[in-house]
Amino acid sequence: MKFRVNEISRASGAVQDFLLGALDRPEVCRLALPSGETLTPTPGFVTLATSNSGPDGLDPALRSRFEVILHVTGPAPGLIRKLNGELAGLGDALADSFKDPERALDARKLQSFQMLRLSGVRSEQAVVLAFGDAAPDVLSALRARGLRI
Amino acid sequence: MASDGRARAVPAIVARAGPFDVIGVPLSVGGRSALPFRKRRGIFVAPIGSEAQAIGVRQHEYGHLALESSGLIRASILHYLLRNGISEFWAQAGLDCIVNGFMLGVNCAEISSLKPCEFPLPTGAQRFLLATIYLRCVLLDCAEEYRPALIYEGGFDAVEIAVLDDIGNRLAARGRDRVRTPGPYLLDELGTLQAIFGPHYSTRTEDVEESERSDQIDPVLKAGLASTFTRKRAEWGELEHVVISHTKLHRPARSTLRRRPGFMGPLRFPHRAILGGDGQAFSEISRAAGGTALIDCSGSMSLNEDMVRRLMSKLPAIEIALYSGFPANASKGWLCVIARSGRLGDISGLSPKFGGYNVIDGPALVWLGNRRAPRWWISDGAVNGRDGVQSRSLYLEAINLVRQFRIQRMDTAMALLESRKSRTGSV
Repeated sequence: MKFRVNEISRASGAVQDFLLGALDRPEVCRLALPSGETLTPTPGFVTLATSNSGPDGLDPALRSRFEVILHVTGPAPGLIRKLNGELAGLGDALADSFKDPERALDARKLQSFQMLRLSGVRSEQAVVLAFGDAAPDVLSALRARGLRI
Repeated sequence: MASDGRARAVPAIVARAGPFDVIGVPLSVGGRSALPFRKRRGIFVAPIGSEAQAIGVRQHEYGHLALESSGLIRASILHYLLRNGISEFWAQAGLDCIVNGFMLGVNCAEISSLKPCEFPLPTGAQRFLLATIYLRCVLLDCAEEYRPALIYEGGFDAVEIAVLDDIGNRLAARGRDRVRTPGPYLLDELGTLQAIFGPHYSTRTEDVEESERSDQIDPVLKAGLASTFTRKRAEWGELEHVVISHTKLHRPARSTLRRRPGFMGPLRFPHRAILGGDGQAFSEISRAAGGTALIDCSGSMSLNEDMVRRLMSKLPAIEIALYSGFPANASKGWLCVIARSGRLGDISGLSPKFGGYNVIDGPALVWLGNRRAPRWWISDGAVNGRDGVQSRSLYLEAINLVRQFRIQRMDTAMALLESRKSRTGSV
């Protein structure tokens, strides 16, 4: 069983308090539901939490409940493959942009751009809609890279 | 779909590497960029604005990074060109031209709005600077505006503009077609431009006046260079010296050694020492006028003995040599000294050797360069090598030899004679 917490750093104090209990060691972890039912973790129970802002912003007690902290420095390989499948080189461009983390492309915006293109919007318009003022640079860079857009 | 509300350079996408130091500068500063190298961060300096020109500058820098990262241009090409004598002005202009072609080829149209230089043209700028600026804008919108200014204000002629257009378009086409540009190719193209427009770095003197003089290229050679577009590999033929006996004594109009009254030397004019004389009783010896003339005997050119004698009368110490390719063997040429030290040989025996291709212009000019100055090259200015192949590299070499050895080209032997007449006022 897996428990996934998205954007954990944005969780409110009450949610973090709840997580303190939920993420405790399996032998002491007990969640009492309002219905009176009690939940205990089954063997193999895993909790995953993601955040864009890094673990330093988390409460130390909550942070210590995670056994491993992984720094993800690039987009998901699956996303790269998907984008490359739709337009040769687009996923690789996204991956390479992460080599300069301060100026990495927003993967969601790039997906929006590609979605607009696939729905028939011209590249020049799609990039403006997706990236706003950064559009000329993104489009120029992608074209200079050899993408046929 | 959100917008973050600001322009943002993304060099890592193009460079396929990072991170970069991105520095925004005013539009007038232009841009520069460098790929990351080992642990050194990349550099991307450009105006960060949304004006067309600012976008154009950024596109240009993306182009540089793209060409380098894709291997179409080696990162070390600039050092290669500089090591081989190409001025940095030309090297940068050539690379910029390729980059502009590349970016236009990938539909980055804003680059057309780039202006390498604001109007009016800088007053007093050297010709080569104006030429490098024009090369940069060959494909840009400003070229139309720039061309008449170069002609009317910069004093460029149509041939020079055509050479810049031709080479600029060829360089840009390599970028547009994504053809790898090796160093020797760029060296050849930019060497041609540097030979025509300068700057020329003289190894003999650092005198500015000499440098300016050497900037003048023979117009016929320049036109030949401009009209020779073949990139066929060409080389000079083998030079064979033909030796004839100088059996005919020519009685020069003036003595080979001139003795003039002076205050030093042997006492030859004692009458000048007596009362009323100027005291110049001694004789000073001065060398007679001379030099070396190399005459191109290829094609329809011919020379008769009368003309040789007239040259010797005017220039008693002249040495005259003929050269041409063998009519029956286009890979070899001959050179024969027909007059030397007031004596001449029988040139009638050489007539069957006239009329081939030039073949050995280069080696013959080297021979001339090692003879006594002044040096004249009597030729129509058409240069070709083995098998009569004309090539820009051969023209370029001939231009450099003419400049290096301070050789004057004359169309005909009569022209040389006329030039001596006008110099002294009489034969």
